[in-house]
Amino acid sequence: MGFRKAYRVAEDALKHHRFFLLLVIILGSLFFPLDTGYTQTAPPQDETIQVTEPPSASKPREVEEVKEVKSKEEEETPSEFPPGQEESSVKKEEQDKGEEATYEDEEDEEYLEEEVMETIADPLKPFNRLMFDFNDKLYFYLLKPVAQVYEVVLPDSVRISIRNFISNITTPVRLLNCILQGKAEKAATEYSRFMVNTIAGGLGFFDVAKKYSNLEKQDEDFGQTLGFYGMKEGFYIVWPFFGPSTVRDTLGSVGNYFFDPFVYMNTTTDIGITKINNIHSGITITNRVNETSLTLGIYEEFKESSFDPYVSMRSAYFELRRKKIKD
Amino acid sequence: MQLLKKNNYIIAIVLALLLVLPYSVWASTPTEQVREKADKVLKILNDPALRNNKEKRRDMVMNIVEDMIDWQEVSKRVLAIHWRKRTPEERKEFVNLYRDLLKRTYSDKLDIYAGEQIIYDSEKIEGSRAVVKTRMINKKKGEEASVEYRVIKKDDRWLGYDLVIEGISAVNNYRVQFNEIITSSSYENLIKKMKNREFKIKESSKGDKSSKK
Repeated sequence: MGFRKAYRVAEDALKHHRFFLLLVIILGSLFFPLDTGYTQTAPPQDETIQVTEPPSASKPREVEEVKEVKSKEEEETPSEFPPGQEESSVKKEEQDKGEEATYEDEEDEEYLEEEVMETIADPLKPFNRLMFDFNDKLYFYLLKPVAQVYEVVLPDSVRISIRNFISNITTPVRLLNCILQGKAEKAATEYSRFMVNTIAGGLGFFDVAKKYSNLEKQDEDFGQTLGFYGMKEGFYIVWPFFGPSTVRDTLGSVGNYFFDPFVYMNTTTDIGITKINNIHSGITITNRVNETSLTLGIYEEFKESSFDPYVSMRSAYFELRRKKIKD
Repeated sequence: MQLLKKNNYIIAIVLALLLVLPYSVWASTPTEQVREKADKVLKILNDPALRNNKEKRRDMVMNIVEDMIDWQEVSKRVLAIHWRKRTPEERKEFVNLYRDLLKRTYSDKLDIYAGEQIIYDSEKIEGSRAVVKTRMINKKKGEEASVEYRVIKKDDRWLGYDLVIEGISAVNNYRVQFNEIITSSSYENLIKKMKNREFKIKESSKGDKSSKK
């Protein structure tokens, strides 16, 4: 029975989601077998570090540095001392500084080792920046105004309940990915959460599992599953509407799509190239507006506190995804 | 935008608390030192008498915070490989600029504090460095955020050098941004940007302090 059901699901997927399957195949064949030139645990020698020379070569540079200082000082204090005295005092300083710098350098290695200088492959940077700007405008001119109205209409508690409900229905995405990664404990947690919240939490509108039993939501998705089995993350992509992603996580989102129960609630509209699932798209948009309304101001603050929001977001995205795959 | 979902005020408070790391002779473990300072800040933030005097409250918190951080360590890590190439004068300049900038950026955000609580989960000491793991909890909204304080031992004090909120390290994030600016243009350009920015923040905090929520 299980197989037949699975077969039917696959058949259904083939019929109705040709476009997505095509996307999977195209993306998969493009990127999966190729070595994107990126290694996950790269030693501190890539993009970020190209500019420096090896530590052994740092001594001549210090001399240069000191010379610069010397020449500056000479400019600033041209004729206060007789020439001989000036020279000797500068020399003395030069010595002091030289010692200080080397001493510091030895000690300094520690802070360089500590944080791994991770590398981020971003060959699509011009495109990505464009898409980042697009999403930025999308947020300020569409998403935010809509969410602000939505926030006024619905009180906090209702919006949190909507979040809980959608999250409860999409349990299969997280549960299946826990199972796929062989994480029994996490899978059990997700399963219990689903049962408890569906039955005692009024069809998932209330997260009683977390409140009373301390069962935390397990954030697993197909992108993490792919990472778990050793697929490289590939390069960074910013999708219009969907935001930051990587090659692997893009494949992951396609996978998640097939795990999402909302996809299988069928009322579809044919737009020629593919069929649009009304319920799924409706839920996706509701979820997006709902989440935005619950997190208004965060994006603004993020932008305010960063020098280059694009780079900041990219770095945060990679850091977060890498951490999630590790646990 | 997916990753920015967590509640902003928690992040803000926490960023403020980054500045609040330890100073004490009798409290010896990193957790105790972090807790002592965090408690002081929470006390100020919870003081109803100060609630209407945001200006004063901000200054008080920032005073506690000011020297609880090893700004030199922070700057070293933020500049990373570029730190080595700086002259002592440049280093000093950067440390001061970066400190002022961080203080300005985050002191405004103290105002969104809404009674969050801190739970201390664990601590791990490795040589002269330690990590204190905590969670900030907002009971009303039922939300929480994980916060990791990274501290380094200087004499008897554990001084903060990094803050990891929801898995994102502040130092790491700034480092990547600074590296991008330095490698695509120059260190001088970075300094220029930092100075411009400070100027802007000064202007805007003068202007619309009241209009911000």
